[in-house]
Amino acid sequence: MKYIRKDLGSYNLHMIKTDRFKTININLIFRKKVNKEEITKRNFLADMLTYTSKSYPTRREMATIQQDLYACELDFSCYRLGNYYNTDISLLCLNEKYTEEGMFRKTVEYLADTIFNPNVTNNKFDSTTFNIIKNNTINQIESIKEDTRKYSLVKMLEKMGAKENYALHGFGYLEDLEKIDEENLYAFYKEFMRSSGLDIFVIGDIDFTETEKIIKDNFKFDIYHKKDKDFVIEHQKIRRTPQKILEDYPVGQAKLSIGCKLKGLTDFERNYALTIYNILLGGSSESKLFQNIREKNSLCYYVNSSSNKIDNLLFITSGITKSTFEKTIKLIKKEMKEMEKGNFTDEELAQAKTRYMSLLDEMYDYPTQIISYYYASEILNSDLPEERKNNIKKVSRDDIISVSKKIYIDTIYLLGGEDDE
Amino acid sequence: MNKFSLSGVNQDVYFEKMSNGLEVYVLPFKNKKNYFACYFTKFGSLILEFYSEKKKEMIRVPEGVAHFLEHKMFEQEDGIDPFEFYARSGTNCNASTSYKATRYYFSGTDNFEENLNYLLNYVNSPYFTDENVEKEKGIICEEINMLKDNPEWFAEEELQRMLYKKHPFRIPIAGSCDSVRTITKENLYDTYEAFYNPNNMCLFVGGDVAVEKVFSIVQNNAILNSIPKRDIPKLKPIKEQLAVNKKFQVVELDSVTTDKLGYAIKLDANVFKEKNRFELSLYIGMILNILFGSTSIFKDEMLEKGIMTSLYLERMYVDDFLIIEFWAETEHPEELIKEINDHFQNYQIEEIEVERCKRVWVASEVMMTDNVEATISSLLNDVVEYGEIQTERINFIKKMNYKKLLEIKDKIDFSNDCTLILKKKKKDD
Repeated sequence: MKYIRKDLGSYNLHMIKTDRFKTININLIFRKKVNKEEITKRNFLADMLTYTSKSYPTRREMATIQQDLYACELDFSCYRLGNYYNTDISLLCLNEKYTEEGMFRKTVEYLADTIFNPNVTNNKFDSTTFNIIKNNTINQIESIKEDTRKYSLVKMLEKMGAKENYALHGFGYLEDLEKIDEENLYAFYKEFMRSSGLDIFVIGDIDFTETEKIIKDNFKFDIYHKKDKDFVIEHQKIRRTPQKILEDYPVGQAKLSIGCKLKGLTDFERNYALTIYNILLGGSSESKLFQNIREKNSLCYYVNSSSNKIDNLLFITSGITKSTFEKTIKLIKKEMKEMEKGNFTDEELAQAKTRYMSLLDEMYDYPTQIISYYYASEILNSDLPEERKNNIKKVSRDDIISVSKKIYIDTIYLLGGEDDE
Repeated sequence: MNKFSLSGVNQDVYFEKMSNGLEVYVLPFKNKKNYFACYFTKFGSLILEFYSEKKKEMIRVPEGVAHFLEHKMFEQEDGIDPFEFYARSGTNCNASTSYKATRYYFSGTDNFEENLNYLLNYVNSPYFTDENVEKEKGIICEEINMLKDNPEWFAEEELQRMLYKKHPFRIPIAGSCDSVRTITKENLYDTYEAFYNPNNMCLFVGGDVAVEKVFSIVQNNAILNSIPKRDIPKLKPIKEQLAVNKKFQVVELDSVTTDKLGYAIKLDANVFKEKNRFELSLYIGMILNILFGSTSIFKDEMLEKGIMTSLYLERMYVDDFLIIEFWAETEHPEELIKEINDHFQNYQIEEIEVERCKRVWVASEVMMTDNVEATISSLLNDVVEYGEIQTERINFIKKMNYKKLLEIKDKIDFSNDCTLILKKKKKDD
């Protein structure tokens, strides 16, 4: 695998050459500081840009051209990364070795045309597309409530700090959706195109010189964007005693979400020890939570922990019978205490590291994961897998214990659940 | 050892049927770091009544027994469970139960030989006790409760109950909390012995693996090779009427936030001249794709008119029935059904659409082979559905014929249909 990074002024071009894949992935990652009012608009915009274009003004025409380009897949995703909000627009296509010569250039031209030539007339986005996306967005926002596992987590974060960046989620907000129209969305598009930070990734069995030329020919941005900083969220306030909130909701199984803040971790702890701590606590089927809450006490089917080093948060989620709430919480707290006391074996620690390093190895088989690593290295200065492995190896028992003492349970939230009869 | 090549994608498949009946498929990938292995039995939630050699009679086991068995295979006599074993080498492992099969699999990058041996060992070493069976009931019940809360899951299960009058497809894969509570270790041993014989099982291995190595592991695994080959028990025949069980139903649920429609038609697969089930399925899939898929006029029209906000389709065989399901988020379900029917009757598929669809499908097949697990899962599914892997998939697609497609379309009849509407429960005044 070979990697080249080029600063092209308005954006950085990252090219990764590998013969592992029959496909080529192109990913444009736009970023701006997160701000609640803009989230819904940015989701809407990305949806709009990939749904139709001036050249292909209906969804059907758009789908047809993609099929003609050998089933290339155009996609978008929007997500928050610490204090920033990203918009990815990506395209996956077959390497022309498997189709016909010249297809790669044609496909890139199509992608560029989609982004630079939106379906706009008289400074307004096309109303038909606009309305379809609006209806669909309303539905999507509403239907989070049907995924009660996710919904419980969203609600827990709101209770933790409604106005804080870490509580902002990428689903979008109905009250903001109402304010969007065809005209202000286009104004927003223009601003978005000249003020976002941008990285373009191309990965596949590519030729660097040719790829650079094709990208340069097609992507001429005029962006003014200052260097980004402060991705990581630092918590100021730490609650002495956790708040406990039970909310009624029409769902049979109660959905438990526990949010913990992390404060005072060193960079090494945040980047490496935290990852291993999490695997030991609740990040695998060998974890303390899985073994004790599920296997020993049969209290649940799933119980997981997950850490987010950019938000400085740790979550624990489970689905339980409401009447076992207090018992479950007690057991979870007990397992967290066990971690503090260092009650895990050297073998378990070694296994957790092995598991994580194996995940790092597998990354090489998935183009989008490779891009994620290079992107994180670009913006967070984080290390690439090989170096990361060496650092993970250095994590000691004391590092884990030290991390465990910097974790503060903030909010214990239980959504719904039927009382036992 | 037989060698096949998957048409159009430069991928070899090595196959051998061992003397104990086990079918072994190996797919060595070039340029991959990881490997994936799946050992499965052609036994899923649908089998509830079968002839017991021991008891010399037809026996019936509680609903959800296949899924329970899957959970309990993770219990081992030495107290070390597969999760723990695989964790040591950083390998991922899991299992899943469907209507027609139960799968045990792992994926990783290291320690392949030991890992594969372990897979063959643990799935062939049942260890059920009254105590460990009892312990699992709480866990499985929470799993069932979790699924029940999801309206889409509910709808899928409810639609099966409308489609079939007697067929065990009516019964959820995991069973119900009530049925699960009645399961005993005897039930588990009865079903295990009947359906976990190598003669009813397959092993798929692929990725960064050496072919000879895999076969040598299988040939030398002591536990696997100590099991005598047995015939698979006779199943109690299932008599299911062609007519759907229930035509129409509206269900109001608290958990629904956007109204949904499940609309299905139940066809007799024997009415089609095309007897090859795999090919028939491709043709039906293509017809539905052209009529209702992402490039269809239909989808554009319905979205523009605001009749629905999303639509997806599924098709499957259940014995001799061919089922086509439409799932939509819509506030105008009756109107949508009428539009679906009208569009199906009136839209003339053109040859160019068929050719485009063929090209897209071929491209997708090639793209899929970048992923070891996806490639294996697709072949494994062939074995479950059609009894053998489909190595000529791409050639089949390339040879698909416009005239034949129209003939097949003419035979699809929408009259034997059923409609499930899911609405948000109205608050009592």
